[in-house]
Amino acid sequence: MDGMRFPVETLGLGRRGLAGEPLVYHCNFYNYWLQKTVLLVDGLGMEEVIQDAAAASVYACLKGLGVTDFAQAEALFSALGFGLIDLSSVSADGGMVTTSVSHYGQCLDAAAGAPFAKPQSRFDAGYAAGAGAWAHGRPSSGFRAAIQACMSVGADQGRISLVGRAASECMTTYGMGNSGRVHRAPETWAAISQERVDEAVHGLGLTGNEEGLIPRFGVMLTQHFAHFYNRLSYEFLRRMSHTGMRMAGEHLLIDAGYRCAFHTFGGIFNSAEWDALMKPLVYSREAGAHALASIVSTLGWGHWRLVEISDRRAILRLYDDYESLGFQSMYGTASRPVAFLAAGGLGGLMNLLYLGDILDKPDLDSGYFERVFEHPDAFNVHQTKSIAMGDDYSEIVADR
Amino acid sequence: MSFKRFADPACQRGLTFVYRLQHPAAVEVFAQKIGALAQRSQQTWGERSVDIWIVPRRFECQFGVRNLEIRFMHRFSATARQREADQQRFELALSEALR
Repeated sequence: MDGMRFPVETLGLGRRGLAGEPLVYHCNFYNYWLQKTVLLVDGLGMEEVIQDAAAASVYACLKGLGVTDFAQAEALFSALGFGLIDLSSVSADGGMVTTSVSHYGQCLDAAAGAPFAKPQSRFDAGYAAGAGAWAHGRPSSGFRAAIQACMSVGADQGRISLVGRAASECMTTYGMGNSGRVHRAPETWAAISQERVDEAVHGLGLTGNEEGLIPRFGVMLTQHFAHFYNRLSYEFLRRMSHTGMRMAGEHLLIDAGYRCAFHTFGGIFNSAEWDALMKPLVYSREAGAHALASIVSTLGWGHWRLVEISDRRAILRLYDDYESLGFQSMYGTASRPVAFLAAGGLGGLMNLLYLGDILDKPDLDSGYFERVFEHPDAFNVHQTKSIAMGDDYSEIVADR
Repeated sequence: MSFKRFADPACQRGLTFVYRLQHPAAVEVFAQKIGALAQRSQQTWGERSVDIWIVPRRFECQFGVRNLEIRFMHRFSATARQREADQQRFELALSEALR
C-alpha cells in the first residue's frame, strides 16, 4: 500500500493532521494497555465506546478526504499501520469484512505476555463499520459491527459482520479542534532545531509497509486517530466518576503512559535510528532527555519542552498537547489537568534515564521494567498546569 | 563466513535478526543475487544512508543501519517454511556480496 497517497500535514507546535483529523503515533503496548485499562471495570459500556470512537474517527477522516470507494478506506487502514482489511463485500445492508493482517488482532499479545481469552480487534470492527457507513451514505453509527473471528484468539484471519441499523445518535469527532494560545514553543535545547528533527524523523517513512504494519524502534507503531484515544480516555474517566473511582481511573491512565514510555521511548533509545540521528548530539542524560523530547514532538503529541532537568527533578511544558486540546474540544474547560499519557511518559522517561541507564542500551525485558519502574526511588509525577484548564501550556513535574 | 548473526532482543516475536560484518558488503552484488523480486529503496538517517530491500509479505533487509551492520526482518505473513528459505537465500546473497 502506498502511504504517500495520504498527505499527513505537520501543523504548528507538533500537531499532525489528515483531512481535518488529528493523528498521533502510538505503539502496540500503549494500544494494549489503554484498551485493557478502559475495559477493566465491567458495566461501564466501554466496548461500545471503543467501536463507536473508531467508527466516528474513520468516518470523519474519509469524509474529509472526499473519497467514497472502499479501496481508499482499505489503503488508509494500511497506511496508518492497522493491517490489511477487505471491505469489498459490504453492501448498503451490511456484509462480512475480513482482515488478513491486523495490528489489534496480532500485535497486542506481545504486550499482554499471555494468550487472550477475548477478541482484541474492537478497533477493526469500528473501523469497518465507519468505513462501510461512509461509503454507503449512512450515518457513522449506521452499521452494527460484530467480531466473528479474531486472530488474537487463534483465528487465521479476522472476520467482522456488519448489519445496518437505524441510528438515533451518532458520535462525532472534534476535527482539529481547539489550539492553544501560544504559537511557538521556546527552544530549550540548542543542539538541533525542532524543524531538523521533524525532517529527520519523518524521513524514516513511518507509514504502513505492504502488510499494513509499522515495525519500528522494537515496537509496532500505529499512526492513530487522536480522537479515538481521547474519547476512550475521557469517556472512561467520566463513567468512572459516576462510580466514585475517578482518581483510580486517572492513576490507571498514567500507568498506561508509563508502559508506553518504557517500550516506545526505551525502543527509540536502543534503536539504530537513534544512533544515526541523535547519538552524536547526546553527551549526557540531560541531553538524552532533550533529544527524546524533540523526537516525541514529531509524533503528533504537541511540542514537549523540558525547562528544568536534573537527576532529582524535571519540569516538562507541553504546547498543544493532544490530550488537553482534545478534552477541551469535547467537554469544555477542565477542572483538573488531563494530560495522563504525557504524565506517565515523563515519569517513564526520567526513570529510564536516571534509574535504568537507558543510554547504555540495556535489554528491555520484564526484569528491567520491574527493577526500574518499581524502584523505591522512582520518580513521581504531578500535573501543575493544563491547557484544558485555560493555561497557556500544560506542565508536568517529575521528582523524587 | 564473514558475518555473525544475532537475534534482535528488541524484537518481540523473534522475527528480526542483526548481521554484523567484518568488512563492507558489495551492495550491487547483493542486489544482483537477491533478485528482481526484491524492491530496492534508500533512506537517509542523519548522516547515514540506508539501502533497503523488500520482498513483499516475506522479508525486508536494511544495509547500513549501523557501521558494518544489517537488519533483517521477516514479515508476519510469511510461513515458517518460507521464513527459513528466505533467510537462507538472504545469507547466500550476503555471502556472495562479502567475497
